[in-house]
Amino acid sequence: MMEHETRALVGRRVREERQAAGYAKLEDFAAALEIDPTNLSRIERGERGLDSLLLARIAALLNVPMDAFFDAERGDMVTMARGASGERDEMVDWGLELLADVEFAEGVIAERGW
Amino acid sequence: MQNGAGEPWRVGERGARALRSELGLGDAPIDIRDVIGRRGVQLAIQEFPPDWGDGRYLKKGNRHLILLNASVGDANRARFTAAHELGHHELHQDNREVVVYIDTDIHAQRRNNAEREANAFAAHLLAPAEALRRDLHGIPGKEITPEKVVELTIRYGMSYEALVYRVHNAGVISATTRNRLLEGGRGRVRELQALFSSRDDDAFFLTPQLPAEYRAAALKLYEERYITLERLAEMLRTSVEEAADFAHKVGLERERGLEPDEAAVAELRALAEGNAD
Repeated sequence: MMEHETRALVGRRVREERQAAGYAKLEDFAAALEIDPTNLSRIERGERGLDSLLLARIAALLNVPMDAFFDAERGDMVTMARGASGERDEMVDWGLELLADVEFAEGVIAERGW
Repeated sequence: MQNGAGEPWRVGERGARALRSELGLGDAPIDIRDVIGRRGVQLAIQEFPPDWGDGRYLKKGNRHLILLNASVGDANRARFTAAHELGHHELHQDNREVVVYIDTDIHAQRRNNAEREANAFAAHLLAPAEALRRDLHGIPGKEITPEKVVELTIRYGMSYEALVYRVHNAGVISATTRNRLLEGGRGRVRELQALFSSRDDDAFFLTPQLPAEYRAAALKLYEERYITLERLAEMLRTSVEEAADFAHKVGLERERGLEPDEAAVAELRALAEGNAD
């Protein structure tokens, strides 16, 4: 893969993972990383490269492995860290609430031995 | 000849074979609800706006849910979506706390491998190539009729088009036969389906419902006076009136004065919050 293609891929993947983790605004995530939003924006657009130390910080903040940023297929797979709200939709929320109730009901029944 | 060749296709097929083998299903037609249940995955169907699409797969901790949209209004499609979402469960494990697959259109042309794998998994799981080959054994391609295809759609619970593509991708029929059958079935599928009895599980896939075990568990909490009728209604995603009616129907009528005491309710809330973390 050419260098500019890698840059574009990593940039796109950073944006996808950032949104999936609930950082809807680029500025918020730049602030968390303590870097200039303009730089982050250029990274996400593939116009600027980034070093491995910054990528490691991004991975740590988003709670994803480093190689997630080099995996083109992963973008369409919506995965979210706990508590994130970025890409989830109302149908997902409905499902997560149901799972919470399932856990609750099973928890009580197991605890009480019913 | 595998017309659906490519790595995602093979990954999906391998996964479906492995699952069939693990569950001892051979290559017989399956009840996808049963397979999903045996994998420890909850299945719920709910009426959402049609444009929200087919389904979702959700994982939260060690709990898993396949959620289907009832307003899609097509039992064959719903079964395929259910199998597709099970494909995500079987093939795409991720150790993060929450994992979500949003499938608004499972039949959309996908360049994404995970979606192609899940589709291949669904096709192989619902209709194994070996079984299709046996079903059509000895019938020359030219003599396969739309009626025969419809018979197979009911056997495997797939739509006419999906079944025709499936038989072609499994290498059982040629592209010419595929095209002839697609053409021959156009506009006639309903009429042909009327010749056969429908599947027992069609109504299930068209009806909003919660996982049966969960519903039973919610009723149990109510029966044991652990939760109020309001909370039961909330857990059953319905109105208080309907929850009361439902409880009544299953013989769970509670006399007034036997509502849960405040301490039990507080304990319940604390537990619910603890578990929701």
